[in-house]
Amino acid sequence: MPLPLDTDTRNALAAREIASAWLLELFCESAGGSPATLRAWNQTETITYGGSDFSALGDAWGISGEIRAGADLVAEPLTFWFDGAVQLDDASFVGRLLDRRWHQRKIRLRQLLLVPTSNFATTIGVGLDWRGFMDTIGAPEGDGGPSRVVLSCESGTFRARARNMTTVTDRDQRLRDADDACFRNMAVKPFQDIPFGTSWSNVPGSRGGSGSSAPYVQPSLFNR
Amino acid sequence: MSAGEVFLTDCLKECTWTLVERQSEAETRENGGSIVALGRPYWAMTAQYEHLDDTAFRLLTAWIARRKRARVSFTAWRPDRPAPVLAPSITDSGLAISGISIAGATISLTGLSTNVISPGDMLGYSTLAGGYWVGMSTATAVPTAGAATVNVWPPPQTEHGTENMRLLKALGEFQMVGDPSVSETSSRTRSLSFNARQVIRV
Repeated sequence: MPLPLDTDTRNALAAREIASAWLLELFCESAGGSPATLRAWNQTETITYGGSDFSALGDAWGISGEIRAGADLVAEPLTFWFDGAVQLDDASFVGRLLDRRWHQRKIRLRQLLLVPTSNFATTIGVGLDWRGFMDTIGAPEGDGGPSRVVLSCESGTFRARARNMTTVTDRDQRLRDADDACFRNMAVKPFQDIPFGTSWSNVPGSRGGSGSSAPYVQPSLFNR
Repeated sequence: MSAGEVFLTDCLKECTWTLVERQSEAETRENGGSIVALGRPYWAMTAQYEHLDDTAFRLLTAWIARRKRARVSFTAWRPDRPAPVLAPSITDSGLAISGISIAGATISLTGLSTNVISPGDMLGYSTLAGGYWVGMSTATAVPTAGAATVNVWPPPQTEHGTENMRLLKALGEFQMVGDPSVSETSSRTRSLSFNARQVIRV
């Protein structure tokens, strides 16, 4: 799937000479629950992009593994590392991250293209945009290894496809709203697909029926 | 601690500074090959000491020990270019930065008097982040009323309020890379060498 590049970015890519940097945004919350986003990039001077300031972290953070972008609906996890030497310093970037609410908060990584002759001062546009959720943080310490804080993230696609492991009956729903009859006939609809928010006649490929008479589907392990 | 301690030059035989550019390198720019700059360049340094006598060797190994490999940084100037080639008697007194341009890779200086900056001359100053910027002039800069704009590389960093501008023995901050190579022999044939890379404060 082609990325939606703007004209300036396409021209820069066509010129075969560009500068590239990574913009990182961690949409954390403060202890009180208010937004407390952390922003940084991997260069040595602070930059303002899109109205936001990005701290200069230089090579004190990085991306582990590779960024993959596919058209199929599969998880595209990504792992980041930060210099762990300053994790106990509350004023440092990683110290602020650890002090804030980060779990399952959004994260955004963008590949920023810049004018190559501007020494990372003049931006062109974004070439890659990866979004996900912060999942786990680890701080492995050991002899001989670098001190790093490792942040594992899952992509938005993975989260969208994740199952909500709860079961709702009509009684559950009535406790929430006594007038909500959405789950009224759940008990008499085993192994039946239930179109949500539409009628069967609007479901492509359905075998007929209407909103009030859903087709019966033979139970099968291979048909679920 | 002794962070920022200047390096030793006694019995220094060779000290090479290399500018490391960070970019992807395609063999061709046709058919999709692109050059992608990934960050600002930094300096790498190798130093080799030879024919160290007992005193010099003891001092140097103690200096190395104080580095604790990469933990304690040090400062160094480029022995190949300790002063502007056309102004070897210049002093740093009165030199000041009137402005920098990161995008243009220039530094505007005042207090130069009539001293010309030549391509390859080294410049250095303290940065706002508490580090050192050190770079090289890439073109001739002739001052007018003591002021000139110098083209430099790497691109400059934001200067400190008290920038300590230097044209004599311009200092950069470095940290050791790996362990030094040491040869302990009798008489005056001891030798030692080490590698270092620039520390960039952000």
